[in-house]
Amino acid sequence: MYRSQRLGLKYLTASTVMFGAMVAFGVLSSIYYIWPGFLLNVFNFNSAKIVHIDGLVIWLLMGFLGAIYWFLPQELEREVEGIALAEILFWVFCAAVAVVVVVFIFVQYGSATEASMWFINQGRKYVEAPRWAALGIVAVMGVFAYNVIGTAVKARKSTGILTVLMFDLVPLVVLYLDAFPEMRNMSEDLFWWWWLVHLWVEATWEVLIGCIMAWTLIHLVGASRRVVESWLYVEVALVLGTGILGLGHHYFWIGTPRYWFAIGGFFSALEPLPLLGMVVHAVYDAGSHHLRAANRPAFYWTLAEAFGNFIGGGVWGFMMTLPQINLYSHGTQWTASHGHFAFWGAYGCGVIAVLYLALEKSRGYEGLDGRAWKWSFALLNIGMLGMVGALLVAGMDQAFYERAIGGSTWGAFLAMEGRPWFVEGMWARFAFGLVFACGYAILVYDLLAARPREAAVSESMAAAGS
Amino acid sequence: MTPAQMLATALLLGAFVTAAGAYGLLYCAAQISDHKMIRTGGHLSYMGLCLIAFALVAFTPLHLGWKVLVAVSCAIYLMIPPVTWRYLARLHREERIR
Repeated sequence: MYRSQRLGLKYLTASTVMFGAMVAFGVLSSIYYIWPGFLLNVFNFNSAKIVHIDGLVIWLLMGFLGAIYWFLPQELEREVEGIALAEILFWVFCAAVAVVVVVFIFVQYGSATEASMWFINQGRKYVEAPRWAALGIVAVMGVFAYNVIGTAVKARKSTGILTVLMFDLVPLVVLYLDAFPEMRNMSEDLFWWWWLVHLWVEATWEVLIGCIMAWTLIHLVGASRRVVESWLYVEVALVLGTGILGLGHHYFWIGTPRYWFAIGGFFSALEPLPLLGMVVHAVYDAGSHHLRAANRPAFYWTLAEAFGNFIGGGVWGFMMTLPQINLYSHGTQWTASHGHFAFWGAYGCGVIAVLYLALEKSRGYEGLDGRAWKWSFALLNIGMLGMVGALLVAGMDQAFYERAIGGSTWGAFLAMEGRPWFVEGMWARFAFGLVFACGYAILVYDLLAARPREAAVSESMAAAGS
Repeated sequence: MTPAQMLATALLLGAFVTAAGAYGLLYCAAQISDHKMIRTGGHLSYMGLCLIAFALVAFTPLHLGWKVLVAVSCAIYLMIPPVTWRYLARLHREERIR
């Protein structure tokens, strides 16, 4: 095994830990909607939510880094350039994340000074990490870009997937720099902040996960490189073509010019088209392998990624993206429903597929199977479906009564908090959040105790026989 | 747009993409299994998609531009599964020949 692959395993392990932190703080955040006075002035909702959503970004980012450090040396058949630096920065990254989480939990916020921004919280959603930690993330991403591009240069070799990845690394790193400017004008600040959030999630991350899933298909089912690469080019063109200007679908209620509504609505309405293409590709591959692969958990999580992306991003997104709907649904629990489903489908399922693939190869197994992964697969997906269903009902109720009828007044907001559908939606979200957390616990157990397919099959047969 | 129309339109938009997904899935399943029921299911899903598109165009207060987008999308959704399938099949065929 290459050193880079060992580093990849460390990143994937750290990613799984962060996934757990995100789930724990997600469940905690859901409690505040049921008991608004919960931990009041001790650990308020805003602090719990920060750890939940920043945890989301970090677990996925670590998962992507882990996946690429795992696949890269196999792709170029050599050790990754600058691996020693990458190994040091892994520990720096983990330590920084731990310090930031401790600060978010115990310090929470500071006065409106430069010092607070540098050492406590930058105050911008998703990129709240204090400035010193944000600089650390830039360093990690810079070294990561050097690892990938430097290795390809040293090897004097590139592949289609790697070329797409290298092009993607440029906007991935550059867009993060958008986390730094201090703007006094709120509209200007939010205008540029969305460039970071939207273009990371609906452009650069889509390309990144496209490359990772392409490698996954090659290593999981032996898909032909030429087929996978041809398909990757088409997907990347379509996703970027529709995703970049879909940016405008966020520009509501922040003072941006009106034409952005039409631009955002138009391009994001086209986003389900390439996602349907992905579903067709997934069914084609599944059919040509008769729903069988040696590593069953990785195979099923790969399928879940294609379907989850279509339903979470496509169906849930299209429901609310046209300006006449978005005007009311924006920022309600309806948006939270779409966000949960789309992140899970597009990225979460993909990272878990890579986890199982790396697990199988690193332990030298010929395939993986068993019962535990099925339980975790079922509980995680049922938990997620339940949560997004509950949030959808609560969000539609909110858009209807608080926004459309109540006119988004403070009084309408307070009245909304007591409406039965909203309250029941919040309870259901909490309950399904617990189901999801159980799925996570079983996932961790399975990752620790997973056994090769043959052993699992013979044990199941023995159990059935007895 | 009244609040009730807003919700009804949103649900129809969601149903529109769901029907497109069902059509794509069943089209592909029919290509694999060549089962008559599945093929019929694919046709019915696309008919459902057309009906939802008609409802969106005829009965919702969406602006004209969005109605045109829905109608054009309905036609594009018809083509995506067969075109993608043929493209994938051709790629695999060429790969086998190589």
